[in-house]
Amino acid sequence: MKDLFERAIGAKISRRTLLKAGAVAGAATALSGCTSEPSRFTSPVVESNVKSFRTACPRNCYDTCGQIATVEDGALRSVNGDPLHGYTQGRLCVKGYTYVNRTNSPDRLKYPMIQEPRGSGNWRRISWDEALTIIAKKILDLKQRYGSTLPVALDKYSGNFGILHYAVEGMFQSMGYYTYALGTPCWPAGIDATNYDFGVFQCDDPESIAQTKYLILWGQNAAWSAVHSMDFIRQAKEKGAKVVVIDPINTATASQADVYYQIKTSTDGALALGMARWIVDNNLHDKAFLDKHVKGWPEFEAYLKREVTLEWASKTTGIPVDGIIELASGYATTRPSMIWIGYGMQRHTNGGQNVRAIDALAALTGQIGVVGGSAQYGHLVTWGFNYHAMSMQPPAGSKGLPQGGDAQGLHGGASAPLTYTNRTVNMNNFAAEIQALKDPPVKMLWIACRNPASQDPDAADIKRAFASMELVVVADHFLNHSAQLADIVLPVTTHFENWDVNVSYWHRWMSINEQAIKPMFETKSDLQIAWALSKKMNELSPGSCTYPTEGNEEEWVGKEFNEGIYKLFGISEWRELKQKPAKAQLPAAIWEDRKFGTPSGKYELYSEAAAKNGLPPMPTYVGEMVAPAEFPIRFLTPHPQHGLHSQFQNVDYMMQTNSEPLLEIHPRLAERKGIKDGDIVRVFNKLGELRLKARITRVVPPDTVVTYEAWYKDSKFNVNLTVAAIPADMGKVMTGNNGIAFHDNFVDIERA
Amino acid sequence: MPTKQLGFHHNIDLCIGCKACQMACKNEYELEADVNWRRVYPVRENPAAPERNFISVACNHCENPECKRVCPVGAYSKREDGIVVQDHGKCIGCRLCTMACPYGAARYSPKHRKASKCELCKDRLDAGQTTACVAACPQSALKLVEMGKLNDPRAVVSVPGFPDSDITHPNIRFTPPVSSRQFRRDS
Amino acid sequence: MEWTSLILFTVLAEGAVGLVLFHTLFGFTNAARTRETAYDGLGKQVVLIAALVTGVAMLVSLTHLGWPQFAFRALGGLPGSWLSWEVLLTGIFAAGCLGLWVMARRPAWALMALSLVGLAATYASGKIYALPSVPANAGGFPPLLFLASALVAGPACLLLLLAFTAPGKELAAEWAAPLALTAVGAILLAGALTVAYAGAASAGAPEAKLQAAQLAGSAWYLLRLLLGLLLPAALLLRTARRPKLTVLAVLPPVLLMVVGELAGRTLFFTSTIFTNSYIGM
Repeated sequence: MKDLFERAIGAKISRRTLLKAGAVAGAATALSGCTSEPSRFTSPVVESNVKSFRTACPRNCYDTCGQIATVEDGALRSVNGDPLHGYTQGRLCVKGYTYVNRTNSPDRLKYPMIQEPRGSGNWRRISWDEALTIIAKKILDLKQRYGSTLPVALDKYSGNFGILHYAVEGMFQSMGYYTYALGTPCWPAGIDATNYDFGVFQCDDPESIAQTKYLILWGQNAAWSAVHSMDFIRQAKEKGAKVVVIDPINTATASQADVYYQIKTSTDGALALGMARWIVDNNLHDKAFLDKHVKGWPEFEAYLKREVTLEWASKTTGIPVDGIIELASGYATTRPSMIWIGYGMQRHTNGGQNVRAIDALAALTGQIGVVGGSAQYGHLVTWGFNYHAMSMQPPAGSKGLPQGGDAQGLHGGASAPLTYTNRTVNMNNFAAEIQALKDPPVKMLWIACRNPASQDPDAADIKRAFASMELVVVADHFLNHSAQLADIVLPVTTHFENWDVNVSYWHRWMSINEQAIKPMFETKSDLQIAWALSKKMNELSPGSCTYPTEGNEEEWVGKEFNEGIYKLFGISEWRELKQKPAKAQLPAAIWEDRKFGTPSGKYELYSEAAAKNGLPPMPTYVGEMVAPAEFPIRFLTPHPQHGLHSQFQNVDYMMQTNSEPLLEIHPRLAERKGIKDGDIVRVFNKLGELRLKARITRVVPPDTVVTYEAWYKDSKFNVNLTVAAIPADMGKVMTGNNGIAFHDNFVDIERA
Repeated sequence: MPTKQLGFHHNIDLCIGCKACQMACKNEYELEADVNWRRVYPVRENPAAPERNFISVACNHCENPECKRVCPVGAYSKREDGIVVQDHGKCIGCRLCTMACPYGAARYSPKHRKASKCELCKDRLDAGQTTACVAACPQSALKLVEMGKLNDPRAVVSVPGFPDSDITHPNIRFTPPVSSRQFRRDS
Repeated sequence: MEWTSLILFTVLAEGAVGLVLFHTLFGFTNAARTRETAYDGLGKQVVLIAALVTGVAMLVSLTHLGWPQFAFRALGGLPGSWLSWEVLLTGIFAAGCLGLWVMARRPAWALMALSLVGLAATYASGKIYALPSVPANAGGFPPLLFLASALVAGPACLLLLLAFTAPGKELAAEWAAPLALTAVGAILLAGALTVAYAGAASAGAPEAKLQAAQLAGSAWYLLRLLLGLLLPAALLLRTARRPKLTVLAVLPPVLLMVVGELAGRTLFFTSTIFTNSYIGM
């Protein structure tokens, strides 16, 4: 997120930058974002051995809940929502309420362990000292053999988005220049699209959903992935708003819609363009807005008139013409009307382009900067911390990837001094690229806040990548698929056992995460691991690591704050967060000043930047990936209800209520294949296969099968055995690499 | 004769089946994994308008509770406010209540070898709070109401998929779901 | 749910009740009146066996409790709980049998009272399972099925005693045929009830229909009807025609009936479909 934030504001993080950012972003308009009363929950009776702490859910989730953790005699007893958090309003979710069960799970990793040989299951408990010695010796050994720490690679992402967890990046940077996975698998195509269109990656206050009169949830399953937004949607409905859901799957969210459109997967751009054509034909576009604030309108209008018809849109999307007209008419004439673009929708080869086409509708109707209007995707405006935990520099004399100076040796060494930088590998093509690296190759892998063996495409190749390492270290809570392939597992604390601070990429609140209980067993936080490893490195080789060797976590939280954050959130001291979460003071409609961050300063329907990157300059339609003949069935693997990626589903509470994965199959497809409800089905393609029970249902289309990605306890089930690392069309600009077209996965099925 | 009767109102139309209510209850009472005082059940799909709908049921604190009728040790009783409570100490783990309750309210714990069930968060109610499940519902689909004072014209006593309420006269009300208008690809 | 404990308890207890009942009823025969000593001698054996079997049954039933050491609390549900009644009446029956065993002679009124208590216990036992949460049991079948088991097991056990014990052998000549025919009648009644039970369920609520399908679709159902009821009935008809009651004539049908009872009771419990398992469907 820090990298992304830096790109978002176009500068490297420094105190000065944050001050600037604070000034720009911090509109002083006091904002009452709380449009409804939080649920009534007061703290339990305060007895001497019962204490309450303010914590924050650090998961990769829109909602990043404010929590109150109740501790009795030093043990976690219950976790509830923080009633003072204006977006999560005192509630958690099905996953959040399992936190005690998860934290106290007998399956939790308690001690460092080593597996000899790797993958054998032959685990032996070792001490931290032993573990860190093995790790430090390997790093120093690789440095000695290859002349740098580039053979050490870090794969880290979103298992814990607490700011202090950037200590892992800091830890490696403080040893030298290293290799790391760059990019994000989730949402980059849409981020780049937002950037081409608006120039800044930001969006309206989601609490303002309650003010809209017409809401389109486009490829967005808030019921499962952003459940606290459902209250604002409900409020809007109560006031008479119409809700439309567009999704290939009839989701739980779709059950809340007035109208549900079962669109043909990956054709969303065509629907948006069809709507646009109708809106223009019926003169419902905002000419004044287009004139003043939009670049490329004449070219786009010409394209619409030339190439887009309702019949074409209907044929492409599978939605009847009258349905498209109803949608376009509702959207254009009911004001304000808002579109929420989901991340699932852009996990396609044409994902970014589709997002641009949908954004265009907001521009067309002049609703950008209108409360309850515009198109929403996400933001990073509240992430402007110091990232002090990763601010350490490599030891003097460290070598890495050469840059600048005589990097190419063209001038016989007589030129400006050589500098070095880290080496990156595409997070979204990790298995293939990490194995292909040379000069030097990668020999050691550190996995933190990530589970590539479960979550990366081509699970089989991930296995091969791990196998090619000399040392694999996984820092995690459970012996998940990645940990099972490691040499050493390091047990880490849950967020109840360490200090942190958390923000969200959707709402505008910031929450402190107080340490509620002592680290259980021998667990350490990622930050504590960094201190400890630095100490060990310096013990073996003085000066080999510049990371501090000790510290106070609570103080380190304080070190993350700067004037920019204080100004943005209207607080004077970070400890105020212990009393309640703080909300960024920004206009509800973030574009109310209509000042866009694009090169032209306008919303860009026509983007030269996109063209320079080899993309269509306008949101013209780019066709969806077509199923190959031998694998005619699309296999969608969206986010589950009972877990967050590979987290939560393995916990006892979840296994009891959701014991196994099910393959949702339409009755027509099932009949063709002779599959009955409850039969075991084999799902396969060139890459791999899996077997799971069938659930016959009409909530999925007849040409698609659906199961939800998750890690079930003691199970080898992994959808990514069939998913190839097909890139999405965008993402490189803002996140370093294009996204993954997870949902362009094609298979065949048969009764097992 | 209870002086008032509390019960749940489950708005199936608003419910998204997220199970926050089920888990919030387990969180509140530190229940074991296999003991669910509240359960969220998927409703059989309507072939005409397929959609995901759910029924959330805990204990219905019935007018004629089956658990009270069948219990051999007389562990169950009905309070003045209509809440059906259990004297947990008396339970000998015969499990007849778990069979007899048409709604599955009574749950057996293999670990403690006793049955237990939702008691409408009576201690929370005494402290001026609402029940844990109602507090957790993100859709405000679950509400605690006083029977007879419920002001929802669409509220009904039973819905398809819910056991016959003539048996025990459960104190639960539902608002039935209205399905979305759908543009589908399988017509 | 683990049903073994209840299958054994109910079948054993009903067997004991049936044994006492039929001994009591056959007390009105000529043979019983003329061979008083033999009849009372048989009666002493009957009540001892009934006491022991009921005692074992009750011990076995404790194993289905979470806290068997507190089973005595089970009288706390009177008068509303049928389970409390079952515990009370079964206990009185067992105590009564023991009491009658200790007595020098067993008067007719005592045997009749004991039989009535036993029948009441069996009825209460059946009523426990007449749960509204099991729509298939809505027609009032469980107590009838349990009573039928007593009527089948009674003559079966008594026939065994006629073949194996001294007083029994004395009464065998006169009792064997009528007892065998009574057994056949009881078997036919049980068979009719078994079929009627499934039939009534198949016309009931969805859960009842499911239960009927589980019953009728099970191989054990056919086994119970053919090997547990029809075959022993046929064998007993032959036995009724024999001049002498041999072990070979009695043992096979009795064993088949016992297996049939256990199979039938297993089916009864394991095929139960509760409404609380089908909410939403």
